[in-house]
Amino acid sequence: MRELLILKLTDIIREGLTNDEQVTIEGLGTFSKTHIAAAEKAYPGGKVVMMPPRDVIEFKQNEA
Amino acid sequence: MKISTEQFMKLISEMTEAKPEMVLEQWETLLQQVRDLKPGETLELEQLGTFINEDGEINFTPSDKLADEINYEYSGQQPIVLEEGEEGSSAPIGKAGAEDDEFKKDEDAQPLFPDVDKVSEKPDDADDEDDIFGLNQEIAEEADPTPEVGETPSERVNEDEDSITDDKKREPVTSDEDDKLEPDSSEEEEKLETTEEPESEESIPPVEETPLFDEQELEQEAALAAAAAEEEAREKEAARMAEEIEREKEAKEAPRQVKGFNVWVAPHKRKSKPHPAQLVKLAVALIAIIFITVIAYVVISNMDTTNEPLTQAPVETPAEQEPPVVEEAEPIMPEEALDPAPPDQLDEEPEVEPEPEEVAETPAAEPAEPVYGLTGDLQPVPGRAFGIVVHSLSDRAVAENEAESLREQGYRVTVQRSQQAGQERWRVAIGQFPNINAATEAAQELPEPYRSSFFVTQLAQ
Repeated sequence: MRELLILKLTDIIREGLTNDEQVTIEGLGTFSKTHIAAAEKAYPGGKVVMMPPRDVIEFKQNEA
Repeated sequence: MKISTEQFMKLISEMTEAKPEMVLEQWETLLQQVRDLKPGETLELEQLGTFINEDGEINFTPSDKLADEINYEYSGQQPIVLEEGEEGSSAPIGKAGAEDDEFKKDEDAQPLFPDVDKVSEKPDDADDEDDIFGLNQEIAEEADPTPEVGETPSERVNEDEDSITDDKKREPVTSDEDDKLEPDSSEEEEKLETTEEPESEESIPPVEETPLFDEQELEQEAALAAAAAEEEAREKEAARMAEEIEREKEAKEAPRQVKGFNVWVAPHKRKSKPHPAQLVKLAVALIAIIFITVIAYVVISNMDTTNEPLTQAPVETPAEQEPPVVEEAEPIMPEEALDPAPPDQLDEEPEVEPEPEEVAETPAAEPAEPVYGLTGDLQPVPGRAFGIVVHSLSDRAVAENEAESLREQGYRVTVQRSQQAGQERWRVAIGQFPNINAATEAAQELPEPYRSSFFVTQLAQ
């Protein structure tokens, strides 16, 4: 039952974020998608790489 | 999208056909586990992710699968090394280093416009043409300074100094010398003979007729007769000179009217016949000038430029030819001074002709289309190239439609297939660039939404 619950929760979050919507689950928090553009990243040894852009999930816990 | 607990329970109940109370109990338990996380503790939920308590704040890290699904547009992108640092400084980069070496090589080995240097290196044709004119000058200098009817202006210019010196030497010209120089026309010879015959007859008879009785009287009479004869000779000589000048004027005007351009005729050297070798040299010089003029005309007409008037190219009599005439015979000077030919036209001719050829070569060497760029047709690129991905779609037909739309807007479009986690994606990229920076800079010129939502990828070979 627990696994089924978590699976359904994952489906709801994925569907909402795929549609560029943030998903707020009452009692848990808000999931949102943030776009990070490509950017250069320098390492201490002098190596510089270009990081590809990506979309990441951010979570913010609801205040009790 | 906000989902309340009741909505969430309802959805779960519909899917699992479980009792709401049971679902609610499980849900409450899960929420409590998340809330009860202590600093540093984690709660991993399969397929969803991991909740972490970091300094009293609950953070969430999605599972790899969920992260890939959310990041589907950019999945499979790897960091690309721009500058290689010291060893061991790029541990998390992984495979990117191997690609980067090749990338750097490509970046160094790919000039944007490899032919630019060649284009800027214009062949120094001006020197060649200068040589041509120098050759002409040498030919003219080597040639006999004797000017001929129809002689080319360049030769005349080169012979100016010689002519002037010759004329200066001939300034104290006597009637006999003139006769030697200008026995060209038979009329002149006849008139000269007729004018000189009486002179000798009139000057000699008084001397012969004087009796030999008194030496003093004879000497006085002889002196008077000689003076009278000299006066008569002067008058006749002046009259003869006037007629001669008129004849010279007529002779000079005739070729101008016939040929349509000014040709200086040296009356004092008309009779002298040129040496065959000189004629050959003069002909070569004339042909060279005509050839250069024709080339200049063709180049100018091809360039559609009207900067150089063609009237300068044809043979014209330079005003520099006039000084010898002026010094030789002063009465001719006023007519020559009225000659409309500008003195600087011939001098400008060698300087003007090389310019159109240089201008004509510059556009001919320009490449038709740059190898790299945002617009135009795809070009064969030596080595690797990068493009700006503006669409990442799961349907190939939709991707092809987007690509066609972009092509109609003039972009260079590439459609690439990408396989990520068993899912096929079609990425539409525009432009061809030698490196990431160039592609990123070019992306700033794109309209929205592409300008703010793009990523750079390496184009397939």
